[in-house]
Amino acid sequence: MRFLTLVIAGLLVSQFASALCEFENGTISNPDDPLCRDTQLVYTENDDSGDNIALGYPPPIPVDTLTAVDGFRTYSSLFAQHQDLMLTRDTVGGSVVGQTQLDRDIWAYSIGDVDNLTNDGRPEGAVIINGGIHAREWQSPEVLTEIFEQLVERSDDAHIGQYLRDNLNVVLLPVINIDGFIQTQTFPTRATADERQPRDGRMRRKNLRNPSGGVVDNQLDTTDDSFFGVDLNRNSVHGYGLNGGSSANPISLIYRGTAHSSESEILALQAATGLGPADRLRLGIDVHSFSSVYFTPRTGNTRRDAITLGLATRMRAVTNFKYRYSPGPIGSTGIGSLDNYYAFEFQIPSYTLEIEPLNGGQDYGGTGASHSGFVLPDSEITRVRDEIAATLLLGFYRQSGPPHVTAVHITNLARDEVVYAAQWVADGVGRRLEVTTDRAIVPSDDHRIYIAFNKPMRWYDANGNLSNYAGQSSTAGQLELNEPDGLFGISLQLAPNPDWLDVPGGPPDGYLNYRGDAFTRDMPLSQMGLTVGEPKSVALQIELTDIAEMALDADPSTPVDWQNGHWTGYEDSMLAGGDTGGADCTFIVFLADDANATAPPKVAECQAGAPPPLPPPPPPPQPAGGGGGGSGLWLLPLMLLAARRR
Amino acid sequence: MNPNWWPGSYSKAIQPNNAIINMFLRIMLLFLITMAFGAQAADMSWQSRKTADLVAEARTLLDLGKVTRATEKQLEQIVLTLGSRAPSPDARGLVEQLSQREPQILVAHEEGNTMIPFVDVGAAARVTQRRWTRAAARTNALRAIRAGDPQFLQNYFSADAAGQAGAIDAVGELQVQYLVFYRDQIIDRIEEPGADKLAAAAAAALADIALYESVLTTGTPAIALAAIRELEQTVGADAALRLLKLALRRPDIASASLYEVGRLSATLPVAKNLLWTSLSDPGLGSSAAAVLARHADRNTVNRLATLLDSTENLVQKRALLALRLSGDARAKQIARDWLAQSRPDNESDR
Ligand SMILES: [Zn+2]
Repeated sequence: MRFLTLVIAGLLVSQFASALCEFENGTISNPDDPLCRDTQLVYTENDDSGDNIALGYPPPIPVDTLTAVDGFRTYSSLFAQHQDLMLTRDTVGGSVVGQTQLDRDIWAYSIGDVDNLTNDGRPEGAVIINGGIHAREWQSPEVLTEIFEQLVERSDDAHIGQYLRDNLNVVLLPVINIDGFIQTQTFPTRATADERQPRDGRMRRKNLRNPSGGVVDNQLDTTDDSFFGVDLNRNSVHGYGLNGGSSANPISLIYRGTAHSSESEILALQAATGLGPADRLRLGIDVHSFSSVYFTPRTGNTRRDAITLGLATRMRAVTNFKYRYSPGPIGSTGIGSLDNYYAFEFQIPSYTLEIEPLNGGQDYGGTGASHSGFVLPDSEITRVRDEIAATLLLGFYRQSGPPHVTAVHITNLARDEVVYAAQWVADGVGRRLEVTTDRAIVPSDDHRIYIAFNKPMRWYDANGNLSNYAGQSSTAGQLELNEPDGLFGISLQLAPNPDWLDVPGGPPDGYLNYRGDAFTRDMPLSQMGLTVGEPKSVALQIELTDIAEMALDADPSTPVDWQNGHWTGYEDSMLAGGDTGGADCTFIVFLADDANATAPPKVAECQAGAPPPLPPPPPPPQPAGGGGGGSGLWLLPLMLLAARRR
Repeated sequence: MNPNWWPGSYSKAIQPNNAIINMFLRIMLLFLITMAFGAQAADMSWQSRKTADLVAEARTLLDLGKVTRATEKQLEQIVLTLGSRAPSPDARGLVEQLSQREPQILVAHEEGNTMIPFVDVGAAARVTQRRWTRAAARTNALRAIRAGDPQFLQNYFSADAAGQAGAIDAVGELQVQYLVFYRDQIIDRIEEPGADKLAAAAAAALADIALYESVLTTGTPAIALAAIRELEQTVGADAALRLLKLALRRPDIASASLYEVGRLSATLPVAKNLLWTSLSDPGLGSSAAAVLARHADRNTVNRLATLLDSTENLVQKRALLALRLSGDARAKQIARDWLAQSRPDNESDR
C-alpha cells in the first residue's frame, strides 16, 4: 500500500503554486479570501517551489532602449521612440486622442504624407491599428512600434513604403492601456491570486479603473484592489454586454464596465478613428497575444465578410499559415470588443490578431506553465516583430486598393520611334485616357511595350532581386492583342516575369513612381510573318496581379474606392463592378502593314471569355554568358508569340 | 497521444491485481484529488520529498491511467521538482518517458474562442532534462577549470546550449585564479558560436576590460546588451564609460548603451557631457534626449531650452523631445510654448 500513501501525500500538496482561489463560471468567486487574494506569485526561469512558477526561460525584464533589441522595451523608451519619429519625420503626425485613468496622454500617430491624397489627387484610404489594449500582452506594443518604424524607414524606399506613404494613411495607437502596461512592466516577474488565473502585476489584463472610485494602485502587496479594472476589449458599443462575452462582475477578467464606452481609453480609440478620417477607413486591427489566430467578426455584409477572409488569407500566407483564422458566428452582434467596433461601426475588415505563441512558453522550449504564452522569451521577439510587420505591411498594401494600369508606351524598335503612348489622367471624379501618340504597329517590325501601374507590382528582396513577397505568388498571365471580330489575336507570355523596372526615369526604360511599378516586354512581331491587310484595331488585354495577388481594376476610368464594406469602381474583365478585378482592355492600338497608315475606327474590345490556353513556353536555354542582371536571361526564351486564327 | 495514459492500461501496476481493491483505490484517488483541488492545501513542499517517492507517485498516477487536471498538474510538479535535484536512474527513466507526453487536457483560453493546453507535462519534462544536462555540465566544468584542463574550451564549444549554460554557471562561481588561464584563449576564439556568452561570463568574473571589449565588438546582440547593463557593477564607472563608448558604435545596442551612460552621469560629469554631444548625433540624438529628460534638473532644462533656438533642425527637435519627455512641468511648458509659437495653426504634430 506504499503507493497509496504516496498518492495521498502528493494530493495533499497544493496542486498549483497557489490553488486557493475558487471559480464560478470562470470568475474567481472568493476574491475576499486572503488565501486567494493575497497570494504572491513569482515567475522564474527554473524555480518552481512554493508560489514560484518556472517558465523554463528567464522572464523578460523591460529594457530602456529606443531601438529594438532582443527583448522588450520599457514603455517610456517606446514612447520616446514614437515621439521622436513624430517630431523628426515629415511623414508622421500625432495627436493626443485622450487620457488614461491615470491621466496619461494616449497618442495616435498617423503615418503618410501630409496631403492625405493619392497620387492622382483623390482622398486616401486609411487603416487603423492599435496595440496594448490588454496590458500583459507585451508582444503587441513591440509589434506596433516595429511596423511604425518600418513605415517610416521605408517611406523613401521608392517602393512599397513610399507607395504607402503617398497613398494610404496609417493611424496607429501603439498602446491604449498605458496604465496597465506600465503596471505589468513595474512587476515583470510578479503576479497575484492564482496560477490558473493570475492577476495584477505582470498578468494584469484590464485597465486601472476602481469601481468604488479612483484607480487601482501600483502596489501588489495591497491586494484589496488587485482584481479591479475594466476589460477594455469588452467596453465598446457593438455587442456591449451581449452574447455571453463579458461580465458585469467587477472582479471578472472580462468585466465590461458600467456602460459601453465608459472608459477613457475606449473614447480615445474612438477619437483616433477620426484621424483616418473615419469615413476613409478600410481596415482595423487590434493586436493581442497569444494563440496565433485571427479572430474576426462577421457582420453579415457578405462582400465585407468575403474581403475580410481574402485579406486574412493573404496576410496569413506571409507567415506560412501558422496563424489560424477564426471567424465569429454569422449573425452574432458581437461582445463589445474592439474588432466588433471596427467591423460594425465602419463595415471594414477587422481582426483581433493574436500573436504567437500557439500554446504557451513550451513552443520555445519552456515548461508551458499556465499563462506563459503572455511571457514571450526575449530571444523570440525580434523574429516575431519582423514577421508581423511583414504581415501588416502586406495587409496595408493590399487594402490600399487594387492596381490599375496607368500608362502604356509602344516603341517600334526597327524605326526607334514611339508609336503609341497613352495614360490615364485624373478628370474630375473619374479619369480619362489621354492618348498622345497613336501610330500603326507594323507587324514586320519588332516592337517593345512598356506598361506602368499605379503601385509597385513586384517585390524586391533585401538584395534588390526580384522575388515574391513572403507567401505570395504574383502572377502574370499573358498580354493579348485582340481584334474585335475575333479573327486573330496575338499573345505575349508574361510569365514568369517580364522586365520589371527598378531604375527611375519613366518610359521607356524606367519605373513611373516606384520600383517595380512598370515593365517592358519585347514584341518580336517580325518573326510571325504576319500581314494584316486593312488596318486593324486591336485591344491590349493586360492581366496580372500585384504583390498581394490582387487583380487589376479593369476600368481605370472609374477610380476604385471603398464604401459600405466593399470596393467601388473595381471592375472585372466584363466591366462588372465587384471585388475581384480582371483584365484591363482599355488601351486600343492598331496594326497596319504601312507605318504611316491612319488609324481605323477604334472599335476594338477584349474577347469575351478567356483566351484559349497557349502551349507552354519552351524550356530556357543554358545561360551562355553569365549573369548580367537577369533580364536578358529569361526574356528571349520565354517569349511566345502566337498568331491565332479562329 | 500516447494510449498508455488512458484508462485501461493501469491494472498491471496495481498489486495485488484485485478488482475490488482496484476499484476502491480509484474511488479513493478521485476523492482525494477532489479534496485537494478545492480545499486548502497542506503546506508541504515538493522539495522536501524524496526523489524515489516522487518517482513512485508519478508511476502510480500513470499506472492508474486517470487523466484529470489534478493528475496532470501533479505530474508537472513532480518533473519540475526532479529538475532541481540530481537525477536517479529511475527519475531519468520517468522523465524520459514523460518528455514524450502530449498535453492531455485543453482549457478555454482567456483571449477568446480557442483552446490551449492546461499544462504540458512533456514540455516540463524536457526542461528538466535540459536542467540535468546543464547541472552535469556545470559540475564537469568546475572540475575541469579547477584542474586547468586545456580541454575545457574544446568541450565547451562542442556542447549544446544546455551544456554551454552549465559551463557558464561554473564560470560564475569560480575564483579569478582559475579563470585567468583561459582568458586569452577565449578572446582568440571569440568568433566561435557561443564564445560571446562564455566571454561575458568570464569578463564579469574577472572584471576584465579586454574580454568585455571582445563581447561588445563581436558578441551577438543579446549577449552584448546583457553585458552593458552590468558594466558599472563589474568594472566600475570609469571603465564602464570607456566600454560604453565602444558599445555606442554598435547601432543595435547604442540606444541601450546611452541609457547606461545616463546612469553614470549622476556621478561622472564626463558621462553627462557625452549625453550632450550625442544629442546632435543623428542616430543617437533621440536616445540622448530621452536620457537627458530622465535626468532633467534645472540646469539641464535651461540648456535644452536654449537649444530650441539652434539653427540645426535636428538638434532643435531633439531638445524639444527631451523637454517633452521630461517629467518636469516647467520643461513641458517650455516645449508647449515653443510649439505654439512656431506652429500656431497646426494642432496636430507633424
Ligand atoms: Zn488580449
